[in-house]
Amino acid sequence: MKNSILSIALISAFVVLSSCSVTQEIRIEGRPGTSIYDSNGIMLSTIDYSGATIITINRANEYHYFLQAKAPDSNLLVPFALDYTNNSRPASADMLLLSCVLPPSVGLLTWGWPVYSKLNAYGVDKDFDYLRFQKTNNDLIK
Amino acid sequence: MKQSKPIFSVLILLIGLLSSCAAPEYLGVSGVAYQSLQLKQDTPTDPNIIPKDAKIAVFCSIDKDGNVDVFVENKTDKIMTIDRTKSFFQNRNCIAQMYYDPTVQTNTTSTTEGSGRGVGVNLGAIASAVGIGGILGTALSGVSVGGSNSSSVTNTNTTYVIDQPKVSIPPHGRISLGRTFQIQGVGKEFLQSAVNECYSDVNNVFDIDNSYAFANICVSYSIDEEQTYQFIENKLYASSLLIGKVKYTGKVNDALRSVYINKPNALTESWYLLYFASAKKNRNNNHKVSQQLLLNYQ
Repeated sequence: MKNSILSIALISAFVVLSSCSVTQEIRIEGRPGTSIYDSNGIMLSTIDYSGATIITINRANEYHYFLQAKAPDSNLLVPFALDYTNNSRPASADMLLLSCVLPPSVGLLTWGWPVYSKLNAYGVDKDFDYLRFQKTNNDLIK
Repeated sequence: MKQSKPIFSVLILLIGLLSSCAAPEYLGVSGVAYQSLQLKQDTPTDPNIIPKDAKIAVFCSIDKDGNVDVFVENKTDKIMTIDRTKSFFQNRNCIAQMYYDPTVQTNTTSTTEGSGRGVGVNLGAIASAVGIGGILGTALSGVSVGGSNSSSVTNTNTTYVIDQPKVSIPPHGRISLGRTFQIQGVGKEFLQSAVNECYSDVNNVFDIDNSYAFANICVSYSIDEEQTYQFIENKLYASSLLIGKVKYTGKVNDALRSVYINKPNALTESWYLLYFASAKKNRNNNHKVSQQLLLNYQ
C-alpha cells in the first residue's frame, strides 16, 4: 500500500515537472531578411525565406513584454509585443512542493528538494505561456 | 493508523494541485502607451549639424521617468561662464527652480577610540549641529570634553558640500548643469495612470499651447568674462499621447499595432517613450525610451 502511494506521488511529480519546461519556442512571422532582437538590442535570429523564424525564449526570467525587429532596408528597431495566455499550472507545482515537504514521514522529502530547485528556476512570472505565433510590426512603420 | 499518513499526504498533494488554480498571479497587461516630446525650436537633433557660428548648444537627456539632465556645450574659442543662479527649470505649474542649489549639505562621520565610563561630548559634532563651519568648525572637530575617567577620543570628520553659483566651461568643452528635474506628465508612472484611467484607445497630438506636459529650461551664459549675460530658452512639450488598450487578454501586440497605425512616425520622433502598462509595473523591461538627446543651440 505504501509503495503504491509513493508511486502515485512520484508519477504526479513527474507529470507536473515535465509539463513545466523552462524554455518555450515561439514562431515569429515577418518579412524575409528581418532580424529579431531582444529588448536590449541583442540579435536573436533572422526571418528566412519562408517568412518566419523560430526562437527559444527562456521562461526562467520575467515576462518579455516585447522584442524588436529590423527590416533589411532599415536601421530602425521596431518593437512588437509578445502575446500570451494566462496559465495557472506552475503555481500548482508550488503547492505540490508544499505537500511534499510537510509530511516527511512518508519519505517524500527525498525528492522535495529537487522539485523546489526546479520550481525556483521559473522566477517571478510563472502563470503565462507565450502564444506560439507572434508577428512583427515593421509593415506599419514609415 | 500507519496507513493514514501516506493517504493524508497524497490528499494534501491533490488539494494543493487543485486549489492553486483559484488564485493565479496574472501578468495583466492592460495597454500600450506612447508619448513623444519636442523642443519648440525647430532645430535639428543631430549634433553634427550645429552651425559653425553657434555659441552655445544645450542638450537635454530625458529618462523613462521624465527626469531631465541638461548638458551645456561651449561652441566658442573663449571661456564660457554659466550663471546657475539665473538658470532655471520651469514646469507647467510655472514654479521655477534654480540650477544653483543654495542648500549646504553636511556629511559627518565619527569614530571613537578607547573605552571607559562617563559621558564624552565632541565639540566638533556640536559645532556641526549648530551650523558652525569653516575654520572654527574644523578646529573643533576632534576635540572631546567630558566628565569621565576614560581615555576615549572621538574623531569627527565633517564634509561640507556647497554648490557653485557659477561654473566655467573651457572652449569647446561640455558640462552638466548638475541638478535633475522631473517634467510633470512625462514618464512611466504617468503613462500607467493614463492607461488605468482610459477605457478606450487614445490618439491625441498637441502643440505647445495645449500640451499636457511642458517644461522650460533657461540657461544664462557669458562669453565676455561676465561683462554681459545672454540666455537660451529650451521649451519642451509633449507632442503626442497615444494609448492602445488590450481588448482581449494577452493580445498585447494588437494594442501596440493600434498605436503604430495612428502614428506611423512614432519611432522617429526626437524623444519618445513606449510603455507596456501591467499589474507588474515595477519592471525594467516594460518600456522603450528613445536614446536621442534633445538639442537646441544659439
